[in-house]
Amino acid sequence: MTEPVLAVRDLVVRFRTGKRVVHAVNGVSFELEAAGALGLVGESGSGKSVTSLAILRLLPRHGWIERGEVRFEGRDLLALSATDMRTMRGARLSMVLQDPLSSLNPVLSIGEQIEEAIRAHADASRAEARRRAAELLAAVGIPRPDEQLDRFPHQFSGGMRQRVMIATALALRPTVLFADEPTTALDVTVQAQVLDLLRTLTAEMGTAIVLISHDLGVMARMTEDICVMYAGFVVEQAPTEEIFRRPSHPYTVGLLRSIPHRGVARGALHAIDGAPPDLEREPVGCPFAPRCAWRIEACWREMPPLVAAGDGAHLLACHHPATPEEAAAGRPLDPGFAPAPPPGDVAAAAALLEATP
Amino acid sequence: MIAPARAEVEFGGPTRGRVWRRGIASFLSASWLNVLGAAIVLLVVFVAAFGPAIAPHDPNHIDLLNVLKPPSGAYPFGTDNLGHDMLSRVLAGARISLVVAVIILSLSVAFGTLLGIVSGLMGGLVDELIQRVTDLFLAFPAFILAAAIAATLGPSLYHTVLALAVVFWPWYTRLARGQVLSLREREFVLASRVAGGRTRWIAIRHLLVNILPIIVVQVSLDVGYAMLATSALSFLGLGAQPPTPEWGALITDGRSFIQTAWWWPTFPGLALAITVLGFNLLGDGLRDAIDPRLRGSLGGVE
Amino acid sequence: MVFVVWGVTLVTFFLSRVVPGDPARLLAGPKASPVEIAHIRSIYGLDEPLLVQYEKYVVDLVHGDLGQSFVTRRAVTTDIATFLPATLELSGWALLIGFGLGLVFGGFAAYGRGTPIDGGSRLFAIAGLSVPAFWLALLLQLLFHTRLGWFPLGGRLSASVAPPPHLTGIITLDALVTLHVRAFLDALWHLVLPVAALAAGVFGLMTRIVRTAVLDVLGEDFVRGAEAKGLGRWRIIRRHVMRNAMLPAVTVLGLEFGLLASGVFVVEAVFQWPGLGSYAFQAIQASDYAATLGATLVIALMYVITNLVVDLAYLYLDPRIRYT
Repeated sequence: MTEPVLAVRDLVVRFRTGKRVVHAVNGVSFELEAAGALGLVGESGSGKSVTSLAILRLLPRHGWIERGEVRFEGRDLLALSATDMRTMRGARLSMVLQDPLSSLNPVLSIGEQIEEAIRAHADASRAEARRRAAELLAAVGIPRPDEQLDRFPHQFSGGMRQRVMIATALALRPTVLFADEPTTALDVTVQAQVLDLLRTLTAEMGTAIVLISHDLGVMARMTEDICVMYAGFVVEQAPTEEIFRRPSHPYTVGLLRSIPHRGVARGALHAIDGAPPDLEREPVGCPFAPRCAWRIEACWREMPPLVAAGDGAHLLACHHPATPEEAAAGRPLDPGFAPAPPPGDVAAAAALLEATP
Repeated sequence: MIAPARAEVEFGGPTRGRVWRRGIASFLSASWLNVLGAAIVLLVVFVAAFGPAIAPHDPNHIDLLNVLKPPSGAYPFGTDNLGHDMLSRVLAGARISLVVAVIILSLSVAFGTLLGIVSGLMGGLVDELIQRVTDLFLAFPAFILAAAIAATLGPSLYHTVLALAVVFWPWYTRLARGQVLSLREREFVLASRVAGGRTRWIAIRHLLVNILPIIVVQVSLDVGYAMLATSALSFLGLGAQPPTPEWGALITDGRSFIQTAWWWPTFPGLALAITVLGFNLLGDGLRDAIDPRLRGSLGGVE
Repeated sequence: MVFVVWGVTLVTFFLSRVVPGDPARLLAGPKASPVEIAHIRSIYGLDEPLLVQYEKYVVDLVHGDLGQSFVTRRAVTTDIATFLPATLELSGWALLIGFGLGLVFGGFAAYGRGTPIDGGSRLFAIAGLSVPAFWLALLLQLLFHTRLGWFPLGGRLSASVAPPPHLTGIITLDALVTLHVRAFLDALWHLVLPVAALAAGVFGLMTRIVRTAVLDVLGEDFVRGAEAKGLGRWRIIRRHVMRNAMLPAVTVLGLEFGLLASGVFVVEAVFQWPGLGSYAFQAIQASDYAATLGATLVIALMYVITNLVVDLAYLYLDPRIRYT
């Protein structure tokens, strides 16, 4: 195993809304190898976007990093000065945002927006930056790039705008690219093209990618490893193939059963019952317990640590994981088993009432 | 989600009383500026209602033994060149300013809103005609047109009121028409097209209920402007004539005495500035509360 | 545009001929004898049908004839040409200062949303909109001239300072172009108080608009995108935040014009500023109708032009409108 370029350890992020505190990310750890491809998957509110924003130190003002460590190429990003961090962003670590319509400034031309990214880090003249920008547009498959540089975002289609965003993000051949739901806002036909482009370009440049999505189909195409996130925790982490072949965490099982993929009949799709927990509460026990069919009494009390299960590459945070047979069936198969009822603990009971309609 | 059509007509959601109480509470807790604005407005309304009763002197009482007295215990705001007690005159001025503003805005809101609704609902030639007339009035800076009208009519407070009402109504026409156009396609209006009769009346009533918040915000912002314009017209010699204790007129009268009796123009101006400030704060706060773009935009991250 | 100009002439015509009863008496002035009034009536063709009168009015207008002021005994157009530069100078500076300060305060208020800076800026802005301009002018005079003696009472230049050559009539501009430093500084010194009185409203309006606009822009993804590119803080503020926040700020220039126009009347009167406002103020006081309506017409036409300029500026600033 090579030295990771990005290592996140026990990252905790909080937000303040009014007088209350949102526990957005609760101790996330993962590693990313050079030129690797990692997926962060989970429902909205699972903390996957916040994790990436925290790593880039782009949290909105009412959010902060409570604790944790982010090592990037051997340096602690959280210890960098604001100026040093700025020289990292866009150059070594860059980001593609979800909505290409609103992530481009409507009053600046495409060229200006790519050029400013280049000139923010490289000592290039305007003419050089413009030439580079044209090359980049050509690289992301935009025809007649020289003419397009002077056009404005509203003159491009959604897919084209996202190509521009990718060109901008890859302008300085970053070491790591964060792509937050890069195709969610796009038409289905365009999605595949944009994903292929991302994969080809990052492979060419040796850029590692952190792909954030709720879509396991996208994950299967794009990533080598997957972190499954729930309520700010990583609940399961494994090579992509392993996640699909041997899902062990009941949440992962539910997630896989909720998406259509080969081999599963349409009628057999299942949504996960219940709703994600209220992040304004201090987490007690496993956050998935109220929705979990495998839960045992311990699940209500303590969050299991993320530890190796089976071979070393498969990490799992579960007191009572699903067996492969149970995962295929989508329910516990032990006839004598019944999900543990919530304990007398008042707070946990209230949390349950909140979480299950 | 398909809600029953009646819910829309019958005020879906909580009762009106609760909405009001909750609305007022959240409005006041949103910013200390809102509290300040509401407090000033309440104070002004109180003074307008009871000013003469709490005033230490008759505002028009001439006392030639006490002319141009600086502020003191007996005359907190001093006296003018005829020995009028300035405090009593400033207190009396509150009623004039408020009443004048209310008349101006009642006239322009009633006329303007009605025309706007007619314009928006009828469409076609009527709409076109009303729009052209509105454009014509809006082609002038409001105050300049009011000054020109008041100047042609001749100086008097009555003419000032008329002139300002004439320049204010087109803004309400435009506002109401825009609202009607955006509401026109909504369920309850569509329903009334099909039905007619009593239902149509209900639809018009509900149209009004939906337009009202925006109109209220605009009125609260315009009250201050109407007061300022009235006093400025007085300053031009077009508005209130002596001895009416209108604030603008008081400042104008005191202008030539400013070197010897600074208190004379200062206190009426202060009263006017604070009153207008109160209404503007209130209006600004109301607009923030009603404008959905400014509401709860703290989130942003999933 | 053409319609609006036509409408403006129609309204001023209406005001001059129809509303006040006997226009001949108005045109002749309050002290005119019946013979004079009859004379005026025939001179101005006021005994002819309204339509004919309107036609003549428009024809005169096109030839730049707005009638004669009986106070100055000169053509109203000549008077306006004399007084306009002083007004342009005063309101130009007020717009510049009010606009600039509004950008700064509005920006700070938005960036410090919910903090005391925000509350303070908003209070300050609304206070600027709430203070009667003529009262503020009087107060500034009382404090900074009478009490402290820092600034002159009024006028555009000290008697001891030689005016710069007359190019545009805008003294600061003329002095700057011809390098008359002393005249330039003296003119600025005279401008401070009236500009302050006039700029308060513009500042208040701008601050409010800019605060809202910046808050809107800060919520946009492209600002986060710009941060993700690693751009510097000031570059983001300048190119991404302010560029976009300028759009709503420009659209209210028409409103700013209205504020300035009403302020100019009273502020010029207080500071004896020899501009269009003073001229109209005196005309109103003397019931000089030709002059009053002439000034009204000119201000209204300038307003129309301002709105046109705003549209053009918007076209320049917003590519979404430029290319559709």
